[in-house]
Amino acid sequence: MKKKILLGLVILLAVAVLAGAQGKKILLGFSHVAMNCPYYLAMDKAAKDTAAARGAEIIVLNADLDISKQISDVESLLVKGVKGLIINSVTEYGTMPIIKKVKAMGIPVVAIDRPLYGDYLAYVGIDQWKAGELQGNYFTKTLLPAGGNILLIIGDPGCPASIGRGNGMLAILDRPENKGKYKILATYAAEYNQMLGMQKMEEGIAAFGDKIDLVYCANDSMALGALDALRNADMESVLVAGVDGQKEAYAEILTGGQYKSTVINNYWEITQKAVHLLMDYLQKKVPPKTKDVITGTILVTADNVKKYYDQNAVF
Amino acid sequence: MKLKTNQILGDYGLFLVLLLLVIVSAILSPLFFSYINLANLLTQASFTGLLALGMTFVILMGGIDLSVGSVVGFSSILYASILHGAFFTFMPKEIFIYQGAPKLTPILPLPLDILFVLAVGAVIGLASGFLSYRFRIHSFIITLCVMIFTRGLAISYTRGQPLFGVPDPVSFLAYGMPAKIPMPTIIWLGASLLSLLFLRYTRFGRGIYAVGGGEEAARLSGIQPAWYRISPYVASGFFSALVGIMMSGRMGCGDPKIGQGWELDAIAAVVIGGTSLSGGKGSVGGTVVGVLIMGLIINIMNLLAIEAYPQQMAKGIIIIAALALHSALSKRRSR
Repeated sequence: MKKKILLGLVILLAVAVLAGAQGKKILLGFSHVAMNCPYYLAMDKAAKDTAAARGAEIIVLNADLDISKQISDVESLLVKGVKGLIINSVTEYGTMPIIKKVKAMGIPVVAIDRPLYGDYLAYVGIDQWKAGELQGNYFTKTLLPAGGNILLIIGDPGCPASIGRGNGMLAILDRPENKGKYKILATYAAEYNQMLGMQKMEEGIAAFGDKIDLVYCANDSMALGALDALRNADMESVLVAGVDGQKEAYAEILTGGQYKSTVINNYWEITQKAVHLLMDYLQKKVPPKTKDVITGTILVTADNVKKYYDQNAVF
Repeated sequence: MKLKTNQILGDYGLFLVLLLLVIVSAILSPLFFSYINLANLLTQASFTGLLALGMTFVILMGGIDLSVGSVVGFSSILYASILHGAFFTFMPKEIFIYQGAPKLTPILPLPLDILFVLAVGAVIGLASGFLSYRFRIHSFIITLCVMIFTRGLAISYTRGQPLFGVPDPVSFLAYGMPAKIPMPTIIWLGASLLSLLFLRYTRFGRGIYAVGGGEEAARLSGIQPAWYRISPYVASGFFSALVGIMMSGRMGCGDPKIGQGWELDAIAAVVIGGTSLSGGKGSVGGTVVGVLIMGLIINIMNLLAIEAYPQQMAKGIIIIAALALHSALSKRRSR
């Protein structure tokens, strides 16, 4: 009997109290892909702040880069009775069936940051491919006009952001005027995480040494990790580029060192737009003007970084 | 009086825990008894349940199968690639850009392709069992290697990307609701029932208990251990492949990364259900209850919107608590 009580208490201890009563507030759901890097954490905060500002309640669930957990998360949100869903998909195809189910229940879906293939109200995010192209052009025209060896660190092979940012850049390298000048030494995957980015860079340094001219990472967190690895190895001349516009990246670009460029992926703009779109649709029945809401995809280099750098920004 | 209480606790302890959990869940969340929540709970538990079923056979034999998660992922993409007409050839460099539902050019017609993938899963299990038996290496090591190898194979095969395009009958396996019961649950409980009858009422089934309880004693009773030692792994591989195919239906695509960590959930469910890790003791019925207990705990944490990482902390505590409970109950029973 004692043991049973103990078990019961253990379960209760492991359980937290549900936050508040729902009342008349609209309940939104946000199925987030992960919380393992500053960008995703910032999106979480932005979603909660914007929802609060609109007088709605939002539940954010973390799928931790696991597609089957994401499907379960969406099912949980459906049980809770969310009226609208924002989703940042782990893979673009894996969420198709569950989104169909959500749509069949009459709940509008807004895809955010990572595109998904399915029937959604709107997609809000940057143009991942264009981000890659912007970087590709910067490399070929400004950073390495004579050619060079590039090391690629992507987030996750199945992820649309990695696919767009990576292949957009590669598409520029494949252009006739650039053919033969650039070589991709290797492609590593570091899950958008800074520590893994550093580890993969160390592996790259061990494998290729001074053959590396530039390392291009699919996000700034990984690029900052790679930067650490390069500094530890005293390789101050290898150029580094990322995507996202993290403030630490801006700080590095500002110093004029080896970190050269990034592309803005404004978590605030994206998340805020997504919540507003959803609330407008739910409260005022106003559908979005365009299905794909592409936010500003802007290249940031030493020339314009001062305009965007804010030390006190969340991200 | 004391003896009777002990006996009841010993025999029905698990069911009492299950009941307690249901009551606690209902109290903590008004959404618990909604149809959609129960359907979700059962569906999600069914996948772990099938893996735990295969794992029960293996653990009854005194072994362990760490490769189930990887076989799930591998089966998922093997099946998807057969649908796309590729067969043990490495995927092309192009990324799959969505151009509408792909025109599937399956190599094998529908029931055959599923049977093929199930057979491949069984063969992987056969390899694990055979290597472990023949070379007298503990299955922990062998299945660990199989786990690493198969996962690497799955990810290399598709360069880490999912393969889009799964036909409707397979989606039915994951989302179908015949008689309002989720299809995965029907498959899981059906398989569990068959396994329970098999283990209890066939000679082979009882031979598994005998060999698991002590190979020398079994051998002296005239049982040749070889096939008994290897077949549980075949079953485990088979069920892992089945889960892989069902997951493909659930996602609408094959994904080489799914299943990571699922072997631990399966082992936890089997252990909570009362099967001893040293072999020879336990039952499929206990595993079913263990799966439901774990499913209930995860479900109530989801309903209360507990974050992913604290959920893992809770899981860890609960498994230890379950083991402590079992050891206390079995001590009581023997008094």
